[in-house]
Amino acid sequence: MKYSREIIGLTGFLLVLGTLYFGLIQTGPAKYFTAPNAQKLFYLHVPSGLITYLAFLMVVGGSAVYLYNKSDYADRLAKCSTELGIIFGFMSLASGTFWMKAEWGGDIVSRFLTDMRLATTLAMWLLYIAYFVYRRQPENFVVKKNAAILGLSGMLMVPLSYLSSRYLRSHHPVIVGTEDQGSLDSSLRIGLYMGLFGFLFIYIFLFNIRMKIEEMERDLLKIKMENA
Amino acid sequence: MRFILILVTFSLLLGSVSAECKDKDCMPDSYEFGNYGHVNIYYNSVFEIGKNWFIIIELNQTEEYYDFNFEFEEGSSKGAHLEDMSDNPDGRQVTDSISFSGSIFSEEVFHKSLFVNITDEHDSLESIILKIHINKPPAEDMIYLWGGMTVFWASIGAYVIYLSNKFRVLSDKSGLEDGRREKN
Repeated sequence: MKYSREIIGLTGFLLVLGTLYFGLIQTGPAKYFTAPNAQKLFYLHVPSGLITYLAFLMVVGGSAVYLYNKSDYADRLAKCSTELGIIFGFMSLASGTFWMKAEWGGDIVSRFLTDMRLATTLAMWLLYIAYFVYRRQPENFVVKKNAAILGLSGMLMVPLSYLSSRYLRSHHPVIVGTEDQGSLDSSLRIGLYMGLFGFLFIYIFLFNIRMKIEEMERDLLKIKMENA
Repeated sequence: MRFILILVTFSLLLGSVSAECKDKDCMPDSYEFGNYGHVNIYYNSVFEIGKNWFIIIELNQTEEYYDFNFEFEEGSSKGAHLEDMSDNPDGRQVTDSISFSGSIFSEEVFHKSLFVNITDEHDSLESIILKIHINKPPAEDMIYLWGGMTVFWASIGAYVIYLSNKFRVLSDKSGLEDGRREKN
């Protein structure tokens, strides 16, 4: 389909707008929260966190495939997904920090150092910042191989971050995959799923464009080398 | 942009500075009872929802004891017992304070009645009604909500601009390179 990418992007944008309408206007301030208004960040904070995991898992997958069969497509996939993981990871970390400051108060720096969910998520994000910075240099086989090894280390970091609030010392609430998931208010659930699908479509849209750009860059490099 | 980032970071790192004042100097309103100001009640006629609300009771130069009862219409009440136990009756002063939780009200109300009953050893000495205004301060967490929401749109927007610029530059370069190749 000619405009499938644009339709996906627009759908994602509309779903996120719908989430905002639902969270900010349709539902009133949340009950049982110290910061009932800041709780609205939930509708986009959780989806951005889940998309971050998805993006970094794609880096892990791409890196593994590259190390296995030197697939150029897998390498591109890992490189492009890293950028998106960094963007969504920033959204998740920054919105979480705002929400945390309003809900829990206290010193942010010490919370990031003592709460295992926050610490491991920040560490995971910084790991992929390192990956991104490493890939800023001219590409050759060694750079790609080292980057893939670095990208593969997410195999440890992603589950560690995801499971940290379940098994390590953390104040971060756990919703997905627990008994609390069933007790989520239906309005919360609708907003959460809308936000999740909205961000997923935006992720697919941006990923598609980023892959296209990467392809163009590599084609251009080939042409330059041919001309040289 | 850098200034905004610094401002946001600073506001996040800055600790909360709001504090509840329990000193009588902070109480703009007072009620005096008895000859020569034997009993003074200091209070703030504005009750801020979410903050503890204090009343300071002061007993001056008296050998008697008093019981105080403060009650809102809804039934929230607090009591205090003040007694001067010292030997010297000159220049002595006894103070005490009570507080109502900031969560006993949730909506804004003006001229709310607070019934005050003062009794001594034998009987009721005075019953008064103090008019209190219940104030609902603007939600403090709204700034965090908008801060957090801005992060989403600013991040996606900045990334889309970054991609768009990159795409345009590459398209131009690609056109040039294709042209060169065709010439060759």
